[in-house]
Amino acid sequence: MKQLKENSNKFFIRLLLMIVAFVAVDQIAGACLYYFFTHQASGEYAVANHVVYNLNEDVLVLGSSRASHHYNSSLIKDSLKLSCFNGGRDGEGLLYSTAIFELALQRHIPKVVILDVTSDVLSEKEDEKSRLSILLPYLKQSDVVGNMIEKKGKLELLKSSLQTYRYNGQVVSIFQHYFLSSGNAVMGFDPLTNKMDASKVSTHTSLKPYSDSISADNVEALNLLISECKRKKIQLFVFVSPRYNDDTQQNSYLKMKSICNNNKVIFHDFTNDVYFKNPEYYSDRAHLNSRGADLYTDTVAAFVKRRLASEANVQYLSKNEIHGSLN
Amino acid sequence: MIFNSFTFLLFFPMVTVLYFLLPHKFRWMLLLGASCYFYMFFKAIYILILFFTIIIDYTAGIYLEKVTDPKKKKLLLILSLTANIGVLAVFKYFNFFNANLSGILYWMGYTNPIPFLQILLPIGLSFHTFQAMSYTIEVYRGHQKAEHHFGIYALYVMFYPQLVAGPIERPQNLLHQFKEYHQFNALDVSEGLKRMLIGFFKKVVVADRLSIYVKTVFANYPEHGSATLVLASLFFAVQIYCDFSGYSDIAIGSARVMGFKLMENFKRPYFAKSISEFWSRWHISLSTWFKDYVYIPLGGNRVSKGRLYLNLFAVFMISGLWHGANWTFIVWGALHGFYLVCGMATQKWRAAVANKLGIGKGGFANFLNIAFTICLVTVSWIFFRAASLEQAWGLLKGIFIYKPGFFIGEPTYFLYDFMAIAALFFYELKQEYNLRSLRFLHNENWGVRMASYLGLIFIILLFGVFDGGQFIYFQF
Repeated sequence: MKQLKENSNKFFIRLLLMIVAFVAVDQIAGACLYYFFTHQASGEYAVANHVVYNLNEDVLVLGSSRASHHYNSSLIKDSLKLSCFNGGRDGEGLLYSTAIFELALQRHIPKVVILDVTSDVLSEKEDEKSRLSILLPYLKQSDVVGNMIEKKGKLELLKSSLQTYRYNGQVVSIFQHYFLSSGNAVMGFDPLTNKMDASKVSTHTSLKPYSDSISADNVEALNLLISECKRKKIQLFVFVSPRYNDDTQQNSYLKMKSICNNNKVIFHDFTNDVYFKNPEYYSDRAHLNSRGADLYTDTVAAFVKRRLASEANVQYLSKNEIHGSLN
Repeated sequence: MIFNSFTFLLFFPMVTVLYFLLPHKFRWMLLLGASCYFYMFFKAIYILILFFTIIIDYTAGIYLEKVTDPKKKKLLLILSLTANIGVLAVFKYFNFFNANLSGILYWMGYTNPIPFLQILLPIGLSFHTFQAMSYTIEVYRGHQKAEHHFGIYALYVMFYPQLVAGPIERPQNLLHQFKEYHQFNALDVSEGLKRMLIGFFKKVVVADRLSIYVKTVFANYPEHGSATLVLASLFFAVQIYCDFSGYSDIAIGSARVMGFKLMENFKRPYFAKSISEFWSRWHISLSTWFKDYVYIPLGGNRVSKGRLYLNLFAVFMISGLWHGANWTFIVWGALHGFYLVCGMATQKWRAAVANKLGIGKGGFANFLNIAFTICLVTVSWIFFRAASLEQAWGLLKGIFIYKPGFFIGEPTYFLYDFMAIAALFFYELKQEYNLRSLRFLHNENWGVRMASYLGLIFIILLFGVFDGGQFIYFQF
């Protein structure tokens, strides 16, 4: 009995020591990882870090992979005479774009924001919330990030109080991009170099028309982004960039159009623009390659230029008008 | 509630602390209440199904002990088994058999008038049904006294660590443990926690990490090259092992913390040198269940060769059906039955050929046998993983009819996959061959041990997948 009690006491002392060591290691490792994280020279987080910590450009592009691969920041800069940074990120939706935008606004207010959306941007998607973990390293920067993280689950913020957990799944990538700079992104623009094999791409779309349900969180995020732009007098453009196949028959698309209309936000859909229906311009059916991206950026820049020149926020321009403005 | 959730990390210490604080006579209430709460996290109403079988089997047990007439005893056993199998038949197999009937009737030009049931399969139904059946069979056979304490009996069927995915316990091993007083024992607690940590590593660092690659490839298998399909199939073999044995580790560990000793369910199955050895190392609680309650009553080894092969094949077909109401599982079971029968039938011939070639014994022979067993098991896992026979066939065709191309996906994740497998292999190798060098979690130096625990916790935090969701075996 005495032996058992002694063993128990020893166990609890060791358990306590281990908890103390755990907290200490977590804090130290978290601080080290934060340093390497914020000093990455390349990669997707380097792009996000620029938006959060160093943004000083006039034009900010936001959106998913289609934003990051479609908008050539240098061409926008040359055309608009406004510096530009592309903050798009592969696989991310509105929740990410809104959060990163809010973080950027804490230290810099751009003049123009281009938000690239897909037709299903407001649809409920299975894994969208789980992907919000990528915002964890920015948790202490803004309450907005905390609110976004909470959408993942009630206990998510509690879990995130562990410093190391915030870098879950990122360690190798952080060190890789800290020590070995790689990738060809320039001012956030990440051009795709390959050419799509049109013979292997079906022109048939398998999406069921108007079968998607709308995500209240995504609608809230879009409204927040729009209201922040209005409040800070930022000119917001919402574009649906071209794709080889049409997939616009979604409730999300209708909802997004109506939100933009109601808020007098300039919205234009390039999805079915015949000008971009050339397979030579694509890397795959949803992404333009660098050639297509340059052509598209020229078109968009001309569009934005016209809109910035004319103060009135007319909702839609005809395609001829847009392409005419290039000449 | 799932083990790899944050809720469980709060639930488990709370229940454990309360367990040790409460006087012995109240502990069963706490454990039963906690088990109900644990189960009701999935779909609360389904707890009524458990209570239905609990009441039937509890009553059957008492009467089985009282009744002396063998005919009446048999009738009671049949009634109890029918109730249990009936629940399984309704909730798990009804729609499967009805769909097959529809197919046959359609082929004959008729329409099936029987409607389909709009119900979800209660989680872990096959596990607790089998555990409940083992109780009535053992009482019937006289190997176990009937349990008169309703709460204790309910706890035997519902004990939360092994409620939804086993190990499928026997009353002789578990029932009496609920009546024994478990004093706080530092050794049990530390061994239990260690085991849980290993389970979490297997689940979130290995299984859920590999599942990202597997899911991507299996979802779009016609687009992938042969090498990719081979790798995804091998990854799935490791994924399902770590998913299920990880669950068992957490179950055994969390019970051990409170002083309960559950049976072992896995013994490094991918080190097996034959299919029959594989089944003595994989899901041991289920294979021994089938051996004791199906294979031996069918005649066991004391029958003619032809009958033996037929029995083996039948047991594995049933085992396949136990796993899921789908032809893919039946084919998976049948494949294992076929492997076993072939293995037994060709044993002498293979040994003779191997001896002639000079590879009958020794390390190289062992290596070849292990590799061949892994190949056979991996092919069978394709059926287990596939959504339909058509998909499984498509995958096999993709593997055996060469198609170029190799998919890596996210390179860092691909690297994590191999790092995770390497760590697992190192751990299992040390255990299999009882290598005493490079001891970490069991080092004699407390400082090394503590550093190892911390290292493992941080590996889980930094490399684990925390949105991986449920365990694969929950669906059974």
